[in-house]
This record gives sequence, C-alpha cells and structure tokens, in this order.
Amino acid sequence: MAILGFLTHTLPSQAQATEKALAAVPGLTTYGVHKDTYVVTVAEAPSEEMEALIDRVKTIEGVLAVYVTSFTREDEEEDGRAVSSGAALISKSKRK
Amino acid sequence: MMSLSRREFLKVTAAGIAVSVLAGPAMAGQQSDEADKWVKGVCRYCGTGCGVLVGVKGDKAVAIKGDPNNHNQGLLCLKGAMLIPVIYAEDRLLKPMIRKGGKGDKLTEVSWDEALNFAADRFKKVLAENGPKAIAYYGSGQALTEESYVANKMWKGGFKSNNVDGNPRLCMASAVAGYISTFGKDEPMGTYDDIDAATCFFIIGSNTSEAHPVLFQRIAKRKESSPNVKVIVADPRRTNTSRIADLHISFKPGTDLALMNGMAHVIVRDEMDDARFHGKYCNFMKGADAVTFEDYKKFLEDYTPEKVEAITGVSAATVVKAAKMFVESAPTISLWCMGINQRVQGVFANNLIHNLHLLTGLICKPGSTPLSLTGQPNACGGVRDVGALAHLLPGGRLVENEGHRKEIEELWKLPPGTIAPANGRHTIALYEGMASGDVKAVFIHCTNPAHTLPNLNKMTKGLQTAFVAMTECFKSAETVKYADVVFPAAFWCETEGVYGCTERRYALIEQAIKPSGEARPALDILMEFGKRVGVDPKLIPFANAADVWEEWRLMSAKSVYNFAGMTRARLKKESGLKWPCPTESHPGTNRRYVKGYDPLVPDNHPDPIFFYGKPNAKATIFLRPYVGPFEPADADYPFVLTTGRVIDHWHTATMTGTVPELQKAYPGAYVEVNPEDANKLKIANGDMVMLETRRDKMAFPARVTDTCMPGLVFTPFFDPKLLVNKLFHDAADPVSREPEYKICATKVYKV
Repeated sequence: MAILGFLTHTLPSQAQATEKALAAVPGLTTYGVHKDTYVVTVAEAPSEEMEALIDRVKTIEGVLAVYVTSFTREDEEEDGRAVSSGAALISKSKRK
Repeated sequence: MMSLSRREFLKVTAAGIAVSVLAGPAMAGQQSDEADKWVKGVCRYCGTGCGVLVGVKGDKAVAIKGDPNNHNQGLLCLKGAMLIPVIYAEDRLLKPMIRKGGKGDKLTEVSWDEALNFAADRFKKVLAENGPKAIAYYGSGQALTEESYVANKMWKGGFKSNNVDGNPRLCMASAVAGYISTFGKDEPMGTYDDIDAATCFFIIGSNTSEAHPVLFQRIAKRKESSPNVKVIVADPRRTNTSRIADLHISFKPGTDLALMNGMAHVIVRDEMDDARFHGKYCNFMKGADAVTFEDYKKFLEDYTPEKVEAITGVSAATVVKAAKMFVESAPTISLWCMGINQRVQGVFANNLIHNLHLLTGLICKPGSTPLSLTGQPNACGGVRDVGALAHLLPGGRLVENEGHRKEIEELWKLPPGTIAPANGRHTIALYEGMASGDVKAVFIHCTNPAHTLPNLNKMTKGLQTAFVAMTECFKSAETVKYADVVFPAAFWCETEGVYGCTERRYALIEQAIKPSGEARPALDILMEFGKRVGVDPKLIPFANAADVWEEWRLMSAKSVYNFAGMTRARLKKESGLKWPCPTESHPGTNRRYVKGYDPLVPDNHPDPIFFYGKPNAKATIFLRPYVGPFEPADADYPFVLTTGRVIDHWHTATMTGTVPELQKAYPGAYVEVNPEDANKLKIANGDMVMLETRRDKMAFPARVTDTCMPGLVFTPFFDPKLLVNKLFHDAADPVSREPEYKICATKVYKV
C-alpha cells in the first residue's frame, strides 16, 4: 500500500459532516478538522488505485479541494512491490 | 509484509506532515520521520517550482513531501507527489547506446567510452569540414542551471558556435521579449507573495488550475479569503480555472490584443489611468518612434468597446466591466502563460498586459504586478538567466552587442573576438537548417523535440538526416527514435543542481540517491563530450556542479542578475532565494525596481521607482495594434484548433506516463467539442473525430463539453500516440520566434 497525506478543504459549515463522509470511505483515515476548514486525511491504497480514491474524495459533498502534502511507498517497498524493477508500477502504463 | 504498527506510524506521520503545513514553517522538522533522511529539492515538473523533501531509506527514495519552508508552504499537486515512482520506472534508460551503422540501424548498448567517442568523432569531423555553424546545441528549461551554463559556455566560447537554443523558445520567448522591450530587462518585478496581497486577478491565456495547480490553490485561497477579491479569467475555453472567476471573458481565439487595447481605451476614456505615474515613469512608443500620450489616446480610438465587440465577440459591456474591475478592485496582479506566449503576436500581447499595469500605476506595489507564469521548472534560472539561447549571453546580455561580447570574453578569459558576432539559429531555423543540411550535428539535452516541435512532419526531417547525440532518461521519448547516440542521464534527485522558477527564486536540488544503472549526471556527460571534441579543459575547469555554480554566482555580480550572495552553502540551508541577492547577508528581493526593496536601486535615488533597465529609466507603453492569428478559421477549415496541458500529465508524458495512477486518469488524448458543434456534426461522446488541417489529419475520441466555445476544439499534447503538433503550422512571432501552437484552422468531422 502507498500512503498519501492530504488536506481536504471544505466550507467551515460543512467540515464536520465532510469529515464523517471521508471517514466512511474505505482506505481513508481522518485526523480531525483544523483551522475550521481543513480535514487532515490519509489515504491508503495500492499506487495504481490512488488516483481513483482521490477522485472519489473530490466528489464528496462539501469538498472544495484536495491539497497533497506527502506520499510514501515505503510500505510497497517492503511488500516487495515495484521499486527495484519498477515492474508493478509500470505494468499498467505501457505507452508503446 | 510490513508490521501494522509501522504502517500506522507512516499514516500518523503523513497526517502530521499535513498538520504541519497548516501550522506553517515553524513546525518544519518537528515530525517524526519515516525516512532515514530527508533531502531538499524542487519538483521536477512545472514552472511553479514547489519545494520538496525527498525521503531516503537505505539507498532508495521512498517518500516525498512538500517543503514547508519554500513558497508552496508544504503543498504539492498529485503528480508532484508521485515523482518517486518515476525514478524507478522500467522505462528508464540505463546504458549508453549508439547506432553503429547509421540512421537505419538499431540502437546498441555500448560502453560510455565508445558512446562518447562515437559522438565526439562526428562533431570533430563536422567542425573540421563545415565549421562551427554546422553544429548546434538544443537544450531545455528542465536542465539544471549548471548544465545549461556549461553547454552555453562550451558552444559559444569553445566551439565558437552561437547555435545554442532550446525548448524555452517554444515556451516563454515571447515573455522574455515582452519584459525586455517594455522594461529593458527580462524577468518579472513581482513574486508569488503578490498573490496574497492582490485583490484582483487578471488571468489571461493560462489554465492555471491544471498547468500550475499549487499556484492555483494559492489564488483560490486568496479568493476565498474575502468577497472583495475579484478574479477575471480571459480564455476562449471555460477551463477549471474559470470556476473561481467573477468574470469569464470568452473571446474569439487570437483576438485578445483587441480586448486588452479595449480595456486600455476604457481606462483612459473614464480617466481611471494614473497620469502622475505614467507621466513620470513611462514613455510611449509606436515601434521605434517616440510618441505622446495624446497619440496613444488617438490610437485607442480604434478600440472602443463596440469596435472590440465586433472583433472579439465579447460584449461591449463586458469589456467595460473588465477594465473597471482591473482598476477598481486593485491591487491587481496579471498572470499569463502559453495562451499569450505561443502566438505570432506573442510579444505584442505581453506588451499589452504590461501596458495595463503601467497605464494605471498598478505595478511595483504589493499585489500589483504583471507576473508571467513559466512553463518549465528551470526555463528562467537555467536558460533565460544564463543566456542559453541563440541571441543571448549570460546575465541578460546580447550576442549582437559588441560590448556585451567583450564583457563575457573577459569574464570567460577568452581572447577578444572569440564569440561570433551574429546570432545563432533559433529553434525553427535550427531544425530547418538540419533539414537543409547546413546544420549537420546536434546535441540535444533533456528535451523531446520530436514530440514538441510544431509542424512535426516538416521539423523532424532534419532529425532524420543530421547526426543526433542526446541525453535522455526515458527510452520511450519520441526523439530517441532519431538519435545516433543516447547518453543515459541521471534523473532529478540522482544528481545536484539549481532550478530557478517563475518568481526569480533559485533553489538547490540536492542529490538524494545514486544514479540508476550506468546513468551519469548530465553535467559530466556534457563536459566529457566537450573535452573529447576539443574544448580547452581550462574553459571548463569544473570538478562538479558546485564549481560551476561558484563561477556563475561570482560572474552574476557584473550584471543586474546579481545573485553573488547565493553561495552553495546558503542554498543548501535555505529553501530558495530570490535575486537580486548581492551579498551573503541579503535576504533576496521581493520587488524589483523599487527603492528599499531592490538593492540595485540606490538608497539615494530621487524616485521610489527606478526602471534601470531602460537608458532613460522609463518603461514603455507600446502602441500595439490588433493583429490576428496566422491561420484563422476559414470556409475550407472552419474550426480553430488549440492545444494545452491536463493536470495529471506533464509535457510529453515521458515522466508522468510511467505512473499508473496518473496515466489512468488520462490514458490518451481526446478532442473537446462544444455541444452546439457536436449536434450539428452528429458527434457523441466517445465518437472518433477527425481533425484535418493543411498539414495532416488524425482521429481523436470526442469529449462533448461546453469547455470550448462553439467553433473551437481543444486537444492535449501529451500523448505520444497522437502527436498533435503534426497538425500545426510553424509560423512564429517575428521578434521572439516562438511558434503559434495555440491557433490553427482545422476541419472537424466524425470518422
């Protein structure tokens, strides 16, 4: 699994409800509402599924924007996926 | 399998990083880290120049986070956050290759020695038989500053060839010529900090939300901060950027010069100009002739809102509203990019943006500035500033200026007369020269011209005949198909060097990991190649990138690009500094030309603003008439085709195409068709639609959307399977020589 940390930007009036909605999505963990408007969120997913997960976040009611702050693949490294050969990451991205 | 506690630790760390971004720079470094060490750098993609920290565990890069101390304040876009997998992509080039049997032969892996000699022998032969005008260097706004500096020095000072150009010619050459013609010197006076002080944004020819996403977040945040903040987006497409706009101006493609003259007309007509400012700090010019403000007023009579409506399709009321908003909602920042620059009138369009600021005095003040957004991460620092274009020398000097050549010859310790007095070939002329046989050998560095040049069927002819040596990181780059020699270059954080972004900020990318395979730093490749061709080793006496920086840093003190205070040690410590920065104690400059901010304005200067780039210290308001595009739609080719970026791919997708989560979002190019046009042409979503121009034709899947106005179609240019530049002409701005990628006429029909 890769791990992506991000801030989910919401309207202050919808922040609590948005956090609940985010927490209900498999693969997402929330860490509270900060500065009234940002839900600190962490996504866990295989690298190749991360985009779809973030796209899903963007469709949740009350979400204005997603600001990525960090990404790590250490977990995938230790799972034996990808890095040494890049095989897992490249497998779905052949362009030729 | 990793233990759960470790994964939980990583999650908590990721959350902590996010919280620290909100807390600001003071929290930096207070997180418990999941990596053995964090190495400072700059994102590899767009011209925003976001600071990053690369997490290294053992000998692998495993994580990335935004640098909270850089201007991006810890934020990244998704593609920036996905940079780590690119390092380890299967597509990486890891060994040198040559075509032993010439163009028809296959690429064969060889030793570094054989590859370097193969390239050097050919260049030596061409130099001996055909002279310095027969060789060329084609560089990149993605190359490190030290690489471009050395290549420029080797070619102009060593080989005596001014055939040094690169992809910034295709990207921001019009912005360079715009700044130089209006202010006398290149590069903006403002910075990103002005975004936080602005209360009006005039965004024209820029889909900031997709091309510069982190910057767009900053603009959107500013917009949300107060209902008094107004955003004007002028673009024939209704892009994602326009969703925050108070006023979206959808004009007929290529008519924005009329729009901006129309806004100027309203500003002057309604006495919203700042007569004291432009009377003191500006002159008026029609071409090379000095004219008066009264002449300018008379010129603007051709651009009444009603006349502008007839040209642009924008209602007269909207023209008036835009002009009023520009002035009344000030401080105003203008932001623009390729929609303005990639035009046959790109320089004029840049001048007209500057005109609006000079006319109103909304310049050189907090939040008021014309800020050109750069497309590439080091086009500013690495190409514009070091002078790695056919007409430039380092530090804003010109090849055709005898005094400037003499200065550089002295600084480079060259005999007088070494640097050739005539400009080299700009990009279009370079590839035409290769096709004609006048240019016989080219060294291409860190760019993919077989994908990015306009009128590709014509432009790639030269690549089929000339000898091509290139550095590259990825096998699937289109240009590799034409290469005679491919040198595998170390990628991004596998080597070290400086990037300079849109806001004159120089920041160091430190080496985090060793190069993959047999890849070598491009600086080493360039210097080793140069020495084997015959460059005097004394001209490039550099052991490493830090040595190159030291020479360039000290040299800069002799120019208005003075960054002598940016020592390597300081760049390692700080997350970027903005020039001018003349001493090690200087904090960098947020506002050029302003007393008290710009160290080049003397403290005892009588005026608060000093446009020192101009001999008379006055910026120029130009009388630039509306001129249309090179190839407007007509009866035979009734649609306008335009191209651009999408958020998850960068340029030719050699990097982003290796990341599945990005590739999945945009697996291929498509064509946007307005519903009105789709209805007439019986096109539905997903139908294959042919775009046929006077150069070529190709089919794209349709996206029926109101993003484009009727009569306009759009396709992104990242897809190597659909090289859309084959459809484009190669007409270019007569001053900047930047091609008009944004407009060509096309037929549109369902296949």
